[in-house]
Amino acid sequence: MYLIVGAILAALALSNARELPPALLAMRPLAWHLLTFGWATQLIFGVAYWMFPHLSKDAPRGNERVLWAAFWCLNAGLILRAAGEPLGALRPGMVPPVVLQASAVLQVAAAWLFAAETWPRVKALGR
Amino acid sequence: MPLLSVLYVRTSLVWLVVGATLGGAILWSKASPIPFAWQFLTAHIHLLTWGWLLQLTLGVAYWILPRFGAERPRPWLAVAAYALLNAALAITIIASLLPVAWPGILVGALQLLALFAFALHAFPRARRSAYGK
Repeated sequence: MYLIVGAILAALALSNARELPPALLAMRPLAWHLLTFGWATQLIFGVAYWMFPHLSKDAPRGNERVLWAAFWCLNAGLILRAAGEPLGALRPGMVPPVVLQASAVLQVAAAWLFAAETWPRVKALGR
Repeated sequence: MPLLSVLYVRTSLVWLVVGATLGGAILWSKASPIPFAWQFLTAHIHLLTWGWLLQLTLGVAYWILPRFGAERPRPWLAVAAYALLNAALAITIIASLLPVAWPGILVGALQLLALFAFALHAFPRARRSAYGK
């Protein structure tokens, strides 16, 4: 989903074919983040969760609650960003600051949670 | 997972955390300004694209591309790519902290050399595997 929406937005917002309307220019940061964070990073999170070396027989993929929390943080953070960032750029003061602040905290939390939970699974063979 | 891949992937996780934290500060700054947040925009972009996305890809490629028997050919090229890539990222961060002109040529040259080194390592491994016939 993020790949398709991000690619369409990027194609429109990053095109310099003609003068772009302000609404599209305001979407540029969002287009990048939908592609890099919503698609590429989330795809990596999912594939790493699936195929990285298992931790143990009891909990092969570590604490799944933490990884679910990372998933919800990433997506909630991106959705808040999509709701608040372009509108905030177009009409300063219209979006309550807490929207972008919460988006920032949620996206950072997703990265920290995933990194902390995945770190022990990145290990050499036989360890 | 070979030791070099462990190094690549764990380093990419570190850059993910640092790059995302810088990005969080920049986004927060759009709502209520944080001094100096925007001076880390270039570092944020480089850390997450080169340090996280690309480095993790290279680390996993080193691990899972077809091997020649038990050996990965010319591993020193992948070691060199790791060193060059992370030297470029370290310079990017230092340049963000100091009042200096952006060392784009140096960073770009190191990144280009890193890519060449890894491509030279991986090229012969990108082939049909014995299991894929």
